[in-house]
Amino acid sequence: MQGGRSIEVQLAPELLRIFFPLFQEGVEVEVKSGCTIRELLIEQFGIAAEYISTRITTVFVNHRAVDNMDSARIYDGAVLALSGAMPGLVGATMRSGGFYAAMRGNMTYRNEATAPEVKSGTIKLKLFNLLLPELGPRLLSRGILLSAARWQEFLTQQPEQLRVRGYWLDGRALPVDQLRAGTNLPAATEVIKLKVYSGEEVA
Amino acid sequence: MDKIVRIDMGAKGGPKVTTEPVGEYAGLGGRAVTSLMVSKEVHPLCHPLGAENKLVIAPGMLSGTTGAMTGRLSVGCKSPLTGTIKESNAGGQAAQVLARIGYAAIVLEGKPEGDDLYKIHVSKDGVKVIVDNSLKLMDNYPLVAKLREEYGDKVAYMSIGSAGERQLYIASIACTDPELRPTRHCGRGGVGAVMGSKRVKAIILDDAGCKQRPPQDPEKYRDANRKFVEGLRKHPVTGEGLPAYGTNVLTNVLNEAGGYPTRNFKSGVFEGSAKLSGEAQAELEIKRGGSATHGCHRGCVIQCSGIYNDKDGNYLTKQPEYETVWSHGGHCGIDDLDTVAQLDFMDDNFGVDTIDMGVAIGVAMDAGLIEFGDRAGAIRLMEEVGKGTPLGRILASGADITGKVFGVEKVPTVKGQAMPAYDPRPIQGIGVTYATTTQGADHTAGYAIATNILKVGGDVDPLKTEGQIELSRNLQIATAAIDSTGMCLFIAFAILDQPETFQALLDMLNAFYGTELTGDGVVALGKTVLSAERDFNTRAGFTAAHDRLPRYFYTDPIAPHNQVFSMTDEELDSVYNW
Repeated sequence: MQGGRSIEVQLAPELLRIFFPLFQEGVEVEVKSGCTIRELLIEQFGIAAEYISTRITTVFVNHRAVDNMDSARIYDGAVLALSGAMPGLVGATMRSGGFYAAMRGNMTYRNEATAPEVKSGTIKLKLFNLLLPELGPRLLSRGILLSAARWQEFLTQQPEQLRVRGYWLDGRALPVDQLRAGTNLPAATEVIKLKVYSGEEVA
Repeated sequence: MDKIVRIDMGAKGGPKVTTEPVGEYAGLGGRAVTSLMVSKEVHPLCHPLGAENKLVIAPGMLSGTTGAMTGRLSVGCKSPLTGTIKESNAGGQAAQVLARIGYAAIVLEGKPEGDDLYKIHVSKDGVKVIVDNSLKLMDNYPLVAKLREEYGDKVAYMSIGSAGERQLYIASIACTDPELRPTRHCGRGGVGAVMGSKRVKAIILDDAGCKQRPPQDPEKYRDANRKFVEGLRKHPVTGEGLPAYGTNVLTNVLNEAGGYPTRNFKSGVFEGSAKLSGEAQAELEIKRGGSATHGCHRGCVIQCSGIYNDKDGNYLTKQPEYETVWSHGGHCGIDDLDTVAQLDFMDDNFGVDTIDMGVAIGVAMDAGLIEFGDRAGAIRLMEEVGKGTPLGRILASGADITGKVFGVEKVPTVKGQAMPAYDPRPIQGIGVTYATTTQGADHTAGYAIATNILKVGGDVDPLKTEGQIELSRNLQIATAAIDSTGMCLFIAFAILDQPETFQALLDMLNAFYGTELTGDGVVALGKTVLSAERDFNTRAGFTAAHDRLPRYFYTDPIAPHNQVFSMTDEELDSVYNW
């Protein structure tokens, strides 16, 4: 999925949480593939190394638990899920490099035999639990890819009083009421790159 | 807690109450008391609903003190569901109040003749057993409301709903929370049916005039408790994740791991999981004026529960746990939180185990009784349970019996008890615990993830396959020990990662009892409890052949990992070698 059209939205910081369900389902994001997960998070997403070490404790690629973010590499089209620490025996079992890794047997992630190509591509990114409020705003301002149909569906699910402060379509400022009215939206089959700003993104 | 009260419900002339010193159970609590007593006193071949079975109710070692997280109550007996020994525990206020009154255990024995229904009032002035036939076939919410009119709000209530009175095999015992809602349940194994067989509808625990239990060394106890609480608050699971999202925070992660059993264990991924997640649930609870952070008993600092309101902002139920959201949700192909919450309320009200109930409905769906995903149909089936119709009685006899009645080949049970919300094919280690635990399929039997600190059985190399046997063994030992302290199992996360928090727990125990318990002592306690339970089960006729998963887990791979359960019989049989 490559973004052709662009939509930018500015709204009150407390409203960013309405986008969190999208991250739970998974959103497409543009990346340069071929790097390790840690490189992706630090160099492309701009997440601090200490944050990664202390807060991102559970990582999945394609449904497989990752033990080492320095060796696991990102392939174009991969599904990457990031989570904070989880309760329960199974939560501990899924923890990256955790003591109970043996209990997950063959479902530990391993790189494919062929190294991934370094190229521009997309991955599906999922965020869970504590990482939603902590990383969601940063990734929303970086941009996520959605089908226009999913964007329109998302808008219809929001309450009437959605307080939008600014709205840009393909870089052109438009009256905010056009967002709610759905005026001039791309065709349902088009892919849009959505950026959301609150004015208080993580630096 | 220096005495035990025995109530012979079958005594000639009516129930007879005797009190005795705590004796050999001094310094023990929770699962240690229930399992050691049941193993010693209950005939292993007795019928679980007969006069020879006993229902033992025991608070934890530190219950009734000022210590944090000390409010678990254990209930033990021979299980009607599994035929094994059973320990089922719950939060709520009952453990704290019972311990303050001074009882290490209440033991219900015998079986009355006739139809009379009883309530038991326990206070510092003694134990009264009272006939009250006006309570017949009442469900838990109206029952507690009626009892509150008589006994007020400064007590704790234990009760059974209509399912327990009908002696259905997955009936639970409800314990009231701080708001006196019957929301915390000793759910597993049909302990409510055993209480029903004794014709005991409710136990009122009244600690008026009683004080907190005093530690041997109050200053050390206070200091250790402070460090223990600090440890819980600073850990990301107990200090952040659980308070914010509850146990249902696991839905997204289990689904992503491909270990979320979907539509009666046919897939490890459910497409509707995001709609059921703890994150979605917390958002909805807050939006509707409920709460995503709530303690099930006073003294809880983790606060993993919550209040779930309906669309109009009225209380519907407490925050459903992960296992409940799974059993009534993904297991049944249902992706609607309001439906799950409605079913959770019905579970609590009728008094049934949410895991076995949801799994039974999913098995009925697999049989074609209703379609997977049929929300209204699932509620209709639950209504049958509440009415006590033949269909409802079958369903509330558990997944195993439901599968047999409707001719379902693939039923996810071990020793008659339904598996919880973790598929054992991708997560092999938990399958070892399901197969070998003394309790039937049970995730909490191997939950105490502190074995690396306890060094139970020595260090384990997690990269070796045999590590899964070692880990399951060690987890079961550690869990049996923590269940005996009466501490909430969720403390395990903080004591796993923070040795100083584990030490604080030991310091609390030692300051309270004036002992010098070490990690080795905790391990020894766990082994003692498990050995007694295994011994009971052996005498009840259980052999190695019962320590297996259903055959299809060995033959049917599950997506997305396409794995089967691959542990050999020899490996499973070695779990209890210590």
